[in-house]
Amino acid sequence: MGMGAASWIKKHGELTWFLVLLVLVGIFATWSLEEVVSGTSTNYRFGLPLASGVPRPLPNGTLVVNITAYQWGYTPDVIVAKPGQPVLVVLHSRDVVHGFLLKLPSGTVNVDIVPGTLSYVFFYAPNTPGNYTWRCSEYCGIGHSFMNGTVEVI
Amino acid sequence: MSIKDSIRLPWSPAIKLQQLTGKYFSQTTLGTSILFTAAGLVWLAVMGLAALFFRLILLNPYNTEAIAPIYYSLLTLHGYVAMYILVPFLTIGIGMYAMYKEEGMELTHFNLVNVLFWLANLGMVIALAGGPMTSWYITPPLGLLQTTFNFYSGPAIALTYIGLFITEACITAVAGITVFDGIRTRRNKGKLSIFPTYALTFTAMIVFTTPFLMATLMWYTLGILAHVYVNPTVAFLLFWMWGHPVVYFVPFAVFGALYAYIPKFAGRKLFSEKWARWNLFLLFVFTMLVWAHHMLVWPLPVWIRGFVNASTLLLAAGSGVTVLNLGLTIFLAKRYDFSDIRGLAYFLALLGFIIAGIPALILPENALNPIVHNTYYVVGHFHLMIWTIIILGSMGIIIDQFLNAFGRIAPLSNLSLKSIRAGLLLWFGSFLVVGFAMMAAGYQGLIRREIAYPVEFLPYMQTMTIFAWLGGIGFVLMAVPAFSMVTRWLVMKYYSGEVEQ
Ligand SMILES: [Cu+2]
Ligand SMILES: [Cu+2]
Repeated sequence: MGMGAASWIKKHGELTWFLVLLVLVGIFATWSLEEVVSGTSTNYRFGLPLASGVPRPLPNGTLVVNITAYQWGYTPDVIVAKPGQPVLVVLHSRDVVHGFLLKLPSGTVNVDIVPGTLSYVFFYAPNTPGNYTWRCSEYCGIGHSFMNGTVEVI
Repeated sequence: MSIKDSIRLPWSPAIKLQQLTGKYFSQTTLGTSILFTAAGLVWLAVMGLAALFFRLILLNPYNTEAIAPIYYSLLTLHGYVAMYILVPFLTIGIGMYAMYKEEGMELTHFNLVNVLFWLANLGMVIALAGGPMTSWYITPPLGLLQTTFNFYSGPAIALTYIGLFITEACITAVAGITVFDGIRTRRNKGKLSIFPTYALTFTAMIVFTTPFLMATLMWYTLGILAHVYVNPTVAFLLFWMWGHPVVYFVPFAVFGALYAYIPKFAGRKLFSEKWARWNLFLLFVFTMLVWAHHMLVWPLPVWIRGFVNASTLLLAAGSGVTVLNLGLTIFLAKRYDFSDIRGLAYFLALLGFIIAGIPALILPENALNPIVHNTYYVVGHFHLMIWTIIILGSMGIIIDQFLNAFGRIAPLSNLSLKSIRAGLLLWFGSFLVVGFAMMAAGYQGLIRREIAYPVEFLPYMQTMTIFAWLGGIGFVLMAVPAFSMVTRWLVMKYYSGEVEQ
């Protein structure tokens, strides 16, 4: 019996493994694409750059914030939102490539801000009041570690 | 008419030069392959030391901008050396060794290759002398700003990119010459054996992909000297057309060695050599197609995301086939020869490749990538790959290379063998811990390339630093026997007049 299994693996193992992998690739790729196109994936929900993740029309009461990133800070660097309020952030860089990484209880917002192109972030403010810090995630020079801002939920 | 006949001066530069190159240039294929792998090891030591020192800086979560220039210069040295010279040197060294060892193929352009080798090193030194603080991306427009250089200022910062350009041009030429000479001097008929097939394919890939980097570097140079506009997105895409394939040069060359030698240590045939050969096409084609997965947080259209997502997963499937080929070869064997240090190195390389590969499966996914993009999770994943399949895989090949070249008159002593074995295990174990500490911290949001970070990540940083230093000791345990072997060989050969049989 053991020999039977070994010889089966020997004969069909490689092709089976390859087909299994192909099926897995198919499932993963389809799932990912489906989520991106339908707007349900994590990063889509939180705003794929290029505005493709922004719901249209914007939900009622959406707070729209324009933020400029520069070496080394953001203006404004505070977003004040009500619990559960929809927030749209439009990001623009004045100099080099920066990032915007914000860990929320419901998921992670993470986009790069490329000079010359706007990046869009859309999320619902957490239901728990408090301060949530975002940080620059793309290396942008010696002040990179000190570039951050706060979402104040009150 | 030779040079000697044509010039009748009592002292001629041409003759002098010939004597010098005859004496100081390597004139054998094996020797030249060692020139590249040994230089790779020296650069590895340099960039490793840089990392060990900047890890000390990272023990303080409250660093200020005052220490930033030192930290980022060390980080740049680490990244530049790794990607711009160490990786291609190891690939070329392995390529030369594979063709020499398995097929008796030879280099013929020794003087040219030697000159290019030294020029490549010189270019690297010129690049690093500027004290760039760009890590290794050199992303425009950041990489073109004067504030990202310590020692070069004004138009002189172009020297960094000119230096890198020289290095990459020389490397591309050597890679081309290696493959060309190898094919020309092949005497055997029929299929090329598997190790040189893989090693030379990925040596050739240097020739196909490095011109993209050279174009980027040229663009930067023109940007600095002639104020040509450098579009960040286009430059970044162009950069990654080299920057992605480059990470596969060594691992896939090493795959060739694993395919050839793991069966020997397992005492049975490779599980399906046919698939191992077909896999080469998959790996070669998709390596070139998946680069934009480095840009999943960039403003890119959805169709590029979909394409990169699917093609990266197909490449992962190719690696999965490799894992099966090799894993089943070991699994279906009655025994595996761990007592041979090469067998041990290849086994650890394969094991590490599997361990490092699984956490990477979420990275190409559009839906999951942003959770960890630009965090230590990614850093942990690719460093685990580097520490195992790249470094340990290369170690197996280099040990074989050294035994071949020096072992006859300077064999490894028992103590040396023990030291290397201990070094391999200490390296593997320590860096496994560092890698997982990095991934755990990154998953929780520790951003890379930061000198100040939320204090709750301090225990992770401490773990990384302590175990990285332990891994460094592992390297020393391997390097000391290798160094003593080479010095002993030199003494035996040139001072005791020992002759190799
Ligand atoms: Cu920034
Ligand atoms: Cu990549």
